[in-house]
Amino acid sequence: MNNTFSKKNLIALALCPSLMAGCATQQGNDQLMGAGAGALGGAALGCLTGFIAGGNAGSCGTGAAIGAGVGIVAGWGAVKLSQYQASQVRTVQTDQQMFGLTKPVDTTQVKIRKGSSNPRTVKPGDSVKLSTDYSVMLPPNVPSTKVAESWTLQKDGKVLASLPPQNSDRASGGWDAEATVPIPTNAELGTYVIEHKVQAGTSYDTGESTFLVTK
Amino acid sequence: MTPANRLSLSRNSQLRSYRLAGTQRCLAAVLGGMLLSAGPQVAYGLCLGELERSKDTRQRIDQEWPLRSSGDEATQYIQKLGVRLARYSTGGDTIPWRFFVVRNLSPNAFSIGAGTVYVTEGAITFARNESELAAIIAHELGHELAGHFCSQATYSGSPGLFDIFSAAPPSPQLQEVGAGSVRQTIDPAKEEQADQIAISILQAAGYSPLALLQVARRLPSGGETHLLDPRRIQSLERILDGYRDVPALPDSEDFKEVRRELMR
Repeated sequence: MNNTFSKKNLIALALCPSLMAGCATQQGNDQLMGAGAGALGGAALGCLTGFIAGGNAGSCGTGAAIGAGVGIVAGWGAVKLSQYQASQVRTVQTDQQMFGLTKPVDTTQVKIRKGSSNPRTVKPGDSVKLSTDYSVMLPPNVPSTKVAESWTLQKDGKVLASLPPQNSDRASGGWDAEATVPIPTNAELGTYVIEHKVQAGTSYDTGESTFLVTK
Repeated sequence: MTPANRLSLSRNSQLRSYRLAGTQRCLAAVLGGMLLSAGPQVAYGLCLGELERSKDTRQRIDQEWPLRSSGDEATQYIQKLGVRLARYSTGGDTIPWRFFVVRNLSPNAFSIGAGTVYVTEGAITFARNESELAAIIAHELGHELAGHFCSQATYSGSPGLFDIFSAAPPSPQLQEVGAGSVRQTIDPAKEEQADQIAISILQAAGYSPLALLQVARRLPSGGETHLLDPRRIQSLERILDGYRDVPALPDSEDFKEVRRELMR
């Protein structure tokens, strides 16, 4: 078996769900990831993990089965963003005043100012709005940078779903990215943790927020 | 004279100057204590004004750089490793060391004075073993222990820092580079001094001093960051000339776990 060739194919397979989700508009109500894509993503990632761990196609198959199963069993297999929008909420001057950024930077930096989930308490079948407020700091001669915004849903220390990253060009200043996630009707009750993440180049930041699913 | 003896003599000479720096620090602390009621606050082991200057820089970094929390596993590990390395230095126990991990995938580490050191996630994942990571941190300890933050000039114009990997262009001798909005002046002589102290610390702590050279050689060249510095490598090769490596400490489980976690 040609391992190099196979690994490349498997990585391509793992990347597919992310690329499929990459057609989202920056401001709109497009459904970003359909039912089943979560399981497919899980399967692809599981396949890749299994292959790396086991070093053969059999491990890939086992990993794929486990990966797909995890998403479905947890009730979040079809998790999707039902809405996504982002807008600039602070000019670079406001950001500088607010956070005391008195001098221009010479390397791109991003920093999350606040990550939140609203409402804090929901019922199965409701929706939660995730909001990530962050700053983009760019060198003076750089008008914009590619920023990836993403969210990961966790419960009891386990990752249930990784929502597809939203990639957009961002200028310096403060930005707010909002995404709405429907709570599955069969979602387990309890506290869920959202990890908010933004990344630009080698700089990235994460923040956390929580919401409670009750009857 | 054998190469090993040459290194030993060189190290003794370096340690003498290093201890002198430590004495100067203590003197500064005593003088600072005498002036405490009238002047700026002075912490034991730090130079006059160093704490205030470092505090200003830290406030700025807190607002600007994405940092991992102090309770985070990676930060706690770096804090533990840094404090352990400092114990193997002269005067290291008089510095209030604080280590932070920056969420940046590019390998680097920075010290800003008053014992405050920043290590990027990229530095942790770039290190192939714990000796290399210890070498990166030891270099930053070297800047602090050598008293490089004692001079107001370090901070002239803006808060200053020393990082481990930024390379100065071939000329002029001193060159200002930046990390975020925090600027630093690269002084090859100070970098060499920090390297010499780092080598002493690494050796005393049981890590291979050659790790510092290995990590410098592996830095990426070209691109925006210009991390690879041939002069720095030459300097390290000169300092470590003839050094016979000893079996290094095995990687700790903490190192393996933190590195694995960051690479996920």
